[in-house]
Amino acid sequence: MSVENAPVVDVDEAAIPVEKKMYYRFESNDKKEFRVSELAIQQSETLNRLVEAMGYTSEDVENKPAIAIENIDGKTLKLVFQWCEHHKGEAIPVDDGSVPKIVEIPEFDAKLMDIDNGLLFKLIWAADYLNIVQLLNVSCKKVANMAQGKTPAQLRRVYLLPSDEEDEAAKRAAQEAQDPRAREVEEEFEERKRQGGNSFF
Amino acid sequence: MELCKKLPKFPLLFLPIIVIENALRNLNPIELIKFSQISKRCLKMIKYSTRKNPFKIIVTFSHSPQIRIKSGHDFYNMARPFFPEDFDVNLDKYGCVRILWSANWIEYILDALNCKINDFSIRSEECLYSFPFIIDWFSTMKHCLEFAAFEGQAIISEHLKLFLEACKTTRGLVLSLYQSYEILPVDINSLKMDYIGLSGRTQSLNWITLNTIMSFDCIDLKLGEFVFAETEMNLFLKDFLKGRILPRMKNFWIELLPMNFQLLTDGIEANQREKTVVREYVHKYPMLSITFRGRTDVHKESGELVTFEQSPPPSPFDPNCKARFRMVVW
Repeated sequence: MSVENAPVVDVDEAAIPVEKKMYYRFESNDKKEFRVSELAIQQSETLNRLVEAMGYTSEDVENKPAIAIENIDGKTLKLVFQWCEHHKGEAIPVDDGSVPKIVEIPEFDAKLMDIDNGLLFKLIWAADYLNIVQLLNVSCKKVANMAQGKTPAQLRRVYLLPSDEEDEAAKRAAQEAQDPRAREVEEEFEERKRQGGNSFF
Repeated sequence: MELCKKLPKFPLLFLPIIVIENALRNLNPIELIKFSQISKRCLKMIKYSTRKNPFKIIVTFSHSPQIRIKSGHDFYNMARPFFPEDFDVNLDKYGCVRILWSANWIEYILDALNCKINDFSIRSEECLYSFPFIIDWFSTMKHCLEFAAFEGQAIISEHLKLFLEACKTTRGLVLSLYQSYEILPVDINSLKMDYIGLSGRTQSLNWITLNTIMSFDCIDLKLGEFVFAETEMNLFLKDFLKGRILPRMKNFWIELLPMNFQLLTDGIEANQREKTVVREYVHKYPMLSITFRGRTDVHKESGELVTFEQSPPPSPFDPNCKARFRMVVW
């Protein structure tokens, strides 16, 4: 049947049940409370599963205590929920394993992430913990963009990466802290090897 | 020093490993290699973050080492940004420096990025003395060749033989032989690839017979400056149409002296099409688009339609000027 031939039915719009938007309440580890829409929560796999498992009704949401997110502070959580609200309803990207990843940072996200690196670091941890795939992608892209046009020495300073010598020293220190006797045995073994001994025992 | 103070600092290693991997996968090949050069741990992180063969590696041994990476539609020069200091000066003084540097550097890139060599080319005159070393080295390298090319004016039989031996499993092969002297014939019978290109001067290709070409098995065949007669090409066409030779061939190109149409099509049922009949032939590998206006149609015994054309020579008054003969299977 074509659209033109379809029967016309008068509809009483007031009679159509309007689906109530549900807003969940979350609390950061510094006791700041946020109200987040059900649709925005879907961007976070962790929170989505959590609220599904809780099975809250609209009344529960209002009457029960806010859901505590204990390892994220208010400043970070505010950014996370701003992002989720802005991107609510968008499809969650699937990782195809490509290198380099094709990630564009939208204008809103770029403004949202115009923050100091300390807060960016917390935002990435939060995106990973809450499993918000696209927020993690754009924030990781922002971190990767710091590498543009840098030499290896500059990259080392930007990403605070230890040199081989520093790695070795840290490894030795960790070994010593763990088992001082093992270190002594290793040194004795090295000494005997230097002296040309064939067998340790 | 001032720049270093201004650089933003981000404690990458304090992120979960899966997040570090996500961030590193946003780096382009040059940034990945620069990151891998920071320390052994960084090299391991890059190796861990990149899946197998994420990029196409294109290597050319020439006067200046050329190592390129193709990622999507982008090409990255992996040599020049990493040249050691004063390398350009040494490049001219010591040929061995550039060859050894290229070999070591390619090995490092392949290892760091979990890649294999996909395109491999040698320019003969630039690598005459180091040729055996290059071939020996290449034979030990991980490669999955899509394209191999040997070209230049200083080709010798021994090198050609070694090159063909090393690159026998490639998807496309190009030999551009421009030496001014005759070389001893090399066995190139029964080459089996998707694309074969043989070009050069007439005297540098005269050891390649039509029988040898008829023994190939390929989809695309491009031949430059040969001296086959109409009668030979007539036999070639007949055998091709009967399906006796080059059964997979879809696109054929050869440069020859202009051929007499009657002799070329003797014994073949050919149908001359009006110029108003415009047909476009598009081919994916190598990327190719040809527009036929009219031209001659013939049929293979299998029923496939074949169209060919002979373009007029670029210099009609030069008796040695070659004309282009092109044939496609629709």
